[in-house]
Amino acid sequence: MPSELENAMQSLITVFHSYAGKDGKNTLSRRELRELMEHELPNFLKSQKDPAAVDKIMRDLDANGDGQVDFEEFVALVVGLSIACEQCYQAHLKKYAKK
Amino acid sequence: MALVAEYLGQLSLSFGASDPKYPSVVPALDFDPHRDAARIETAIKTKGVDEQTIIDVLTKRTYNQRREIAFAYEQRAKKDLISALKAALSGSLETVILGLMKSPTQYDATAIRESIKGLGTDEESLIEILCSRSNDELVEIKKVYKELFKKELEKDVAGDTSGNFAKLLLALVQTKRDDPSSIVDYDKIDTDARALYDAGVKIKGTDVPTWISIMTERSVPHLQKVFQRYKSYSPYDMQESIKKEVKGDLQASFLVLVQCFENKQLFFANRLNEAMKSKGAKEKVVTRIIVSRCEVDLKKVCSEYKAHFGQSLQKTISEHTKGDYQKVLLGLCGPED
Repeated sequence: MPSELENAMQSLITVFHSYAGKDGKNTLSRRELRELMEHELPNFLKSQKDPAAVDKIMRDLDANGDGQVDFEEFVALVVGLSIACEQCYQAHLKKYAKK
Repeated sequence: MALVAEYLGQLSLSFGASDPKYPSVVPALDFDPHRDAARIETAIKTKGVDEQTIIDVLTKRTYNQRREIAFAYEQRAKKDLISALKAALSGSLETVILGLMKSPTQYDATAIRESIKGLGTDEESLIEILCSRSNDELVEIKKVYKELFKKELEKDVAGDTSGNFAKLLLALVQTKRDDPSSIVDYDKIDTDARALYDAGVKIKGTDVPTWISIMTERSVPHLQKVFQRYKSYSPYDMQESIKKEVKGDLQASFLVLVQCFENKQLFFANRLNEAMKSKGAKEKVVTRIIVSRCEVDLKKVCSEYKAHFGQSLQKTISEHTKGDYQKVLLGLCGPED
């Protein structure tokens, strides 16, 4: 029976591949990245006031500049967002602990 | 876990990061602009003016909330809140409160204008503001400066300064700084470090334009690494090199820039300490720093202050200021941690 963490890691991989594989390559093209973010991170996208947000993210993630985001590059985004969410979570805990 | 979805909705794109914020003034929960406007109206009408209430309300609301209060006040009192406050208050308290009623950008633009208009220039203030604000902040300041004063900030700065000092300030005002990126360019870090050394300590004299272009065009995270790498070429670190190579206002500007890249909050803590320990004219500096940083990073400035000087900023303010001015500053700093 996989652990909660093992499930989380599995989800990362399956989500990535369900979007990345669409054009036959196992990496995210700009369009596949946009689809992934629109479906899997809608709340995050909605809060961006900048319509070019996806492009900015793509540019930043595509470390070797080949127009494709591989899993390693993709996971950097998930890590960054997780860290930011965890900080919100900590602040949330502090607020309730003070009461 | 619905929590993550909620948090994601609150995040703004900080990929490669805008600086984290540590404000001491945060939005008041349970905010009711009409109630606040009523309290302020009463406070102003009270015989002798109830400064305490004005301080209590306005120091615990963010600028956006204060604006809403101003609208509500105008609706109920049929008067402009800022004029009413100007008439009711005086002295240093008035200066702080009127500062709080400006947006951070308006406040900076006005402070810059005051430092250059008229005879002479307040270089210290001009340097402090232009060298500590981020690229994005400077872009906004330029816009607002033009709206408020119908002049181009660049022209005014150029008109009031000269030589390499002017060139540095103008380069900053041109806001050509790169955005931070999550990619680290080790080659460029090394090239830049070497260039800074070759342009300064290595030669007799200084190639100031090279220093200016590197320090005003590279992103801050990149420069932080450049200054680290610099130490492997130069026997003096960047700040020591600046002191050896250039003098006067140019030196002061480079030093502020580098100190802000390395630890902006410590820079402000030092500035506050200097200003309070010296007499008289420095109230302007204290007011400016506290008002302009309270929604940005004043909380961190407080912790850097305590770590560095062994005593809290709040305690130092209590020792060096008094009356309503002291109360309003302490209101903005918040309680000690």
